[in-house]
Amino acid sequence: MSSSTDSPTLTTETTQLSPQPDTETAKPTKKITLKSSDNQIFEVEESVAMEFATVKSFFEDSPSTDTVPLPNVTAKPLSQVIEFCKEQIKFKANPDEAQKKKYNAEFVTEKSDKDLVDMIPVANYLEIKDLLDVLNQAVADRIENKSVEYVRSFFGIDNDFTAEEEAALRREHAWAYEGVDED
Amino acid sequence: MNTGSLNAADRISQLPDDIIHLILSFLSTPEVVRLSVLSKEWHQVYATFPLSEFYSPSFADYFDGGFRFVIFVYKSLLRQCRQYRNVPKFQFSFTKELCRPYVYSEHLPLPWDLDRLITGCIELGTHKGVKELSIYFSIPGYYKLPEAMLSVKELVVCSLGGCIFNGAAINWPSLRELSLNNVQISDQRFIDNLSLTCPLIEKFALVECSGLKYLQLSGLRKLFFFFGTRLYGLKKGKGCTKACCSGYNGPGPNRKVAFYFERKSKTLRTLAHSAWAKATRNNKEALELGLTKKENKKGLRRPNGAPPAWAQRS
Repeated sequence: MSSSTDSPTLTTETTQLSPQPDTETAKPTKKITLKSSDNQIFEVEESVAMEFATVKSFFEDSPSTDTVPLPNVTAKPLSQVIEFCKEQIKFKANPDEAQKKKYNAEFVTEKSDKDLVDMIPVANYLEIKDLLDVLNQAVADRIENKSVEYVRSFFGIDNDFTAEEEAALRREHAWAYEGVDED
Repeated sequence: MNTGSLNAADRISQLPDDIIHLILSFLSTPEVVRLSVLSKEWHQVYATFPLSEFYSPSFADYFDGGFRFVIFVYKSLLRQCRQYRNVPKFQFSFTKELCRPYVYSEHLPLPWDLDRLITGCIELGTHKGVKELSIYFSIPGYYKLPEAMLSVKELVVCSLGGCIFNGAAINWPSLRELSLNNVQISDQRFIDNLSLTCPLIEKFALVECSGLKYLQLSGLRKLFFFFGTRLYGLKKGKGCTKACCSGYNGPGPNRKVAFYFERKSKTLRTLAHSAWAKATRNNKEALELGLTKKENKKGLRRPNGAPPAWAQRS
């Protein structure tokens, strides 16, 4: 059943040299277009896009499309995520754990707090596990030993506790507030 | 997918709980507790976070820190046991500053009510399929471990310190790594039965332990790393050496074997020698030994560097 359904007349594109769509030569050049929620267009190589589990499954469901809309993702974090995945693919082809570690560390240290926090929902939505691990670790490092107020502004969280409620919660675990860094 | 307004500054709180749990898992327990007051949303996230590391020094500033600490541990564990089917990781460390107001002499045991609460914590923390366990006491005397935790079929990595346990009651069929530091083993059968009670053990460290008359690593087919130092009470003499090494055949072929022993102890060095002889019969790979230069010339290789960190942990 399965073997007879593919190939012949489907190829409308004229430039294909080989009859089979997924030969070794065709792969690296194929581009996929990603559209961010603020309508910016990103052209990335297929191999990069396949790092995004969400995009990958989108293609498996509807292979004929060439533009993937990403309604939850804005342009800036998306461009940074693409940058990260491009590098990871190089490491995949050419495994070097030490270099990879170094790159991952540099990738997060040069980002601002806001950039880091903005990338987490993107990495989660696109299901890029490696990046999510790197980001979570980096964020944890930056809020380590910081005061509650600092972490609130770090994540941009609105405090919806009343002053009394918060004081009561702090009293309950007063021991945990010893030895916190000044901001 | 929730469309989420783009302008909302706080996108982090909209993430699924398990992503925030991942961030929390990189933080120490007091930090996780502090973050519970960020907002109602985060308090909810905290209320389902499986805390697993409990270290008492955070409570050292309180005159009743010991009780506060143990009650905090007990409550957290009770909550987790209600929320989760498994509690896979449990780390518990209790230090002597916390018994100050109750122990007027250094040599008195823990007050009985505190002792009972700690036993309760350990039982709670180990009865739901714990895989990674670490229990350390730094108190006057040894803490007697409850027998219930000596038989956990899921346990994989176990590290104990400052306690005493009934060696005959051990049953850890999945155990791969065991590290005992300053532990009193109250029954020689612990070593005798190791191949039956912990047949899968791969790494084994004994540091400053007492209560063993001899070491017999027989029948441990998976064991490829052993570290032993300052083992009090080992009997000296010829008979002992024989008993020590009987039956150790080394792990499967082509696995490197490493044995580190205290340099000065003649008994242990002899043990290392015979263990080496037996292990090399099955293994062409050299066995690494902590031996002197002279012995090294005889063809035994010395370990390159100190034993790995896991064997040194205190």
